[in-house]
Amino acid sequence: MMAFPAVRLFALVVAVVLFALPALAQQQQGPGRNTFGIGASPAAETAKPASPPGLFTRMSAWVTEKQVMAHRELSGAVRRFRSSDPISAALFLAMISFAYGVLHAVGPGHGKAVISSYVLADGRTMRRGVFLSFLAAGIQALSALVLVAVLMLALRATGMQIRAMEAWLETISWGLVALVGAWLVYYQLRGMLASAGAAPHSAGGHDHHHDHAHGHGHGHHHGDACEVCAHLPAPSELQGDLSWRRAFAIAFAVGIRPCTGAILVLVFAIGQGLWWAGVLSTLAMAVGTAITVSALAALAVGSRELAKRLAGSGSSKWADRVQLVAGLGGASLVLLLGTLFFVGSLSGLGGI
Amino acid sequence: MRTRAANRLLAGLAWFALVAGLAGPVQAHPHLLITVETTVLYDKGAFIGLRHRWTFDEMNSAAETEGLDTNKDGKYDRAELQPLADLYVQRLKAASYFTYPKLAGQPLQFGAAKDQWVEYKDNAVILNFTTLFASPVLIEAKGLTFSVSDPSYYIAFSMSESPQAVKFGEGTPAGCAWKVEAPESPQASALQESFSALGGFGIGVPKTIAVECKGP
Repeated sequence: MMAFPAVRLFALVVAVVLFALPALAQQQQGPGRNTFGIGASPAAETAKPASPPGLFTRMSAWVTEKQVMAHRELSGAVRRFRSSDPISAALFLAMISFAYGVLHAVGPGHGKAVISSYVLADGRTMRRGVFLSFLAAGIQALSALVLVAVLMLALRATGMQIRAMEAWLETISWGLVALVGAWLVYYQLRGMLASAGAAPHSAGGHDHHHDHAHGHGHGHHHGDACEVCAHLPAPSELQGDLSWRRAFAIAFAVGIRPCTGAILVLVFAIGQGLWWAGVLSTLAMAVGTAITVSALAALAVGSRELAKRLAGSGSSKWADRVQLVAGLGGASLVLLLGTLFFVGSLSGLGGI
Repeated sequence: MRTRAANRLLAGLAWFALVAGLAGPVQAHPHLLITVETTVLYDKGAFIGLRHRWTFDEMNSAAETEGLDTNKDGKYDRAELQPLADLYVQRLKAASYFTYPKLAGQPLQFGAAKDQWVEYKDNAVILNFTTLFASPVLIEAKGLTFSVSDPSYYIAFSMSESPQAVKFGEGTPAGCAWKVEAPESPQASALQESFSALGGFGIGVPKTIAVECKGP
């Protein structure tokens, strides 16, 4: 059966373009970021909004609209503690903050691109992806709380100084992401070299899979049986200290940068004399953020597994290749995102 | 067999990339809401520039002014907020003040901001500054427009709801008026519709203001 060259070409183009999108979307952090408060942003001049309003543009429009709504509601929700009873005020604030977290995590800067790429690359399971998302969001909330507590309450810093510090944390965060990315690429390459050295398709020739920490038995070893076990953490994965270390490293790298929304609500709440409302809001926001990032990470994992299944039912070689592309692609993306935004954020720091 | 596997692989990859790509396209993430009021300045038969009055949202206003009440009198004086004003216009310069004036569709050059100051009113930071056109635009000239927007949506600019959202400076002949211009392309118009169908907070496709003078 001959392939349709046009269809294949189209599929390839789609793959390449869409792969690049998370990176592009991050670049959309335009000059606005540099101007007020938080300094870090790539210098890339953003174009005017693209003219044909496609599905994504409309989606984007919808999310923007809801983000603005949540943003407007948030300050009112904090002040509500003055007028209404504490329990209903707390519930309302938690709800708004949660929605704010869900919506804002769709935009850049909450590690969704990094974490999704990471779970792709590292052969992670969905469970791990979800865990990582929550861990990163938790660290992010903590980072905002510590930053505001130390700078505002202990050191009496101005709002401008707090945001300058936020910009530094962002730079550090991207630097760490780049380092983890480099580490991942190294592991992927090492795995590749090991596999090139091994005899292709002999039963014992798959050591490399254990090297780069997805040794929980993908379909290529045992055929169909493993489509099930791919979603269950195998003992080798739970024991893999190294992969856990990498997971914590990526969550820390992403999470050390506090969420701007959390800082805003904390500073505002403290100014109103309602600091605990700020803490509540920050935590609810983190849960919302984690859910969005989890969903995207799970999608990334799920689609990798699907791609493997589509390719792999006839030939395990193709499933291996999908894993290889996902691995190298994901790892390179983490490295690329980290490097790009590390450099970009350095230029943004000049003005502060 | 091999080609079939290859096809499947490509199909699989395309799908997987599609989902990976979903993580990307939604780039909206406004962290700062600004309500815009603009005065079109007039001098000797020509429009000479724009005076801006930007009101920040409550949370950002609190964050921006935190710690700036240096004399501890419980309020933010104009002098206390001056460093903020200077910092803003200095940074805004690189973003051309998010202001896009045009004459008959061609971008109008304008100089650096001046007369900047910040006031704090009703829990809001209000940034005031003036940008003058490089050369004055005669009021008879057709097709003077401007818009204020951040294409990256980090800042969600919206036009003030007030009928005074756009004003004319002192001395402007009575025949001069402004209106919100219809979107240029059918696409922009469709996008604007999808925005307003969502409840219309005044964000979305930036509004372009057209200025025109009739009369003698």
